[in-house]
Amino acid sequence: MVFERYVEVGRVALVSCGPYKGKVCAIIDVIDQNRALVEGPSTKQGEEGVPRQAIRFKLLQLLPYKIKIAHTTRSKALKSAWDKESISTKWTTSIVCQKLDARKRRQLLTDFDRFKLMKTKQRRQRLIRLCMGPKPKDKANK
Amino acid sequence: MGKLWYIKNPSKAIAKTKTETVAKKGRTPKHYEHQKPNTRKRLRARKSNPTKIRSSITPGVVVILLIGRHKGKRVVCLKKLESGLLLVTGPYCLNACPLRRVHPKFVIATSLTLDISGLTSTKAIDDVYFQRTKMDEPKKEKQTDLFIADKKKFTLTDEQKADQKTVDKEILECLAKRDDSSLVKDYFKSLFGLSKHQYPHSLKF
Repeated sequence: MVFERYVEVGRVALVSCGPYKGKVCAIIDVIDQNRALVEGPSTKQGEEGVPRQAIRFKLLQLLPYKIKIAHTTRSKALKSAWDKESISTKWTTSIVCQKLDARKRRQLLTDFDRFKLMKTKQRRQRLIRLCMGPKPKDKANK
Repeated sequence: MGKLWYIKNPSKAIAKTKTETVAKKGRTPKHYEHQKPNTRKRLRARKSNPTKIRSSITPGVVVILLIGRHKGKRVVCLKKLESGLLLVTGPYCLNACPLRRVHPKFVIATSLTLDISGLTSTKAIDDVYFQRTKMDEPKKEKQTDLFIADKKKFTLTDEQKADQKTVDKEILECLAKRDDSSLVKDYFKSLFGLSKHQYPHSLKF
């Protein structure tokens, strides 16, 4: 099995646990076998990014994006490299990000929202059934 | 010396007692020095503590009943009664839940609130409204009517039925003002239930 995503300076990763869960950051430096120094500018307006800190590798999920930075660059340089590769748009348009957002939205549904969702799903199914037409009779069962 | 701290005007009192212990001719003194003078006991200010209901339950909130024959139904909370119970109704025309009292502990408050500020018919309804008249016949009469299986059943009075209708009508009027009124009506008609992978502690209501 060939690995495609490596831990390296500039690798973009998703934080999977802790206070910055669901946020995206770049590996700026490797501290030791278990920890990396990371920082992530905010990807959405109004949302904070990941402040510069040490995070365990176990809490990071490597993404298929990479930015070109030298190790331990300043936040400003990091941000300009981040924007150059437009990592924020790449991330927010990716399927993984959209699925995570959908999961968050589902969690915040109220009881009435869940009811409305159920009704909409029913309506959609009925329309699909109408388009598909009546079920053809099984020739074997005739 | 008598205890002076509960006498209003000690000097006057002392003067009084002194003059009174000196008995007037033919009369016994009002009180003696060793006795406590008659002081009115001051009653502690009685505080009335009305029951507190959690802040998520206010008049107009749609609430899910968890116990009783109407469990699972979504009903409108009309007001908090003095006994601490909630006055609730289906409305009856939508889900057959009548004007009823419900314990706030056995209820889930949803975030859907109806604007029932215009409701006037519920102002007269209180705990006394729900007190039932005794249906049981006194024991003496029961013995003579042993073979007559005519037990009085609880039936609604016409007045109660009319009250239900007026309350329903007013609630439907409040509903009609909403954009999603038909959806909300269907919401009232449906029952609440947990499906797989739904855990109440992680659900938002």
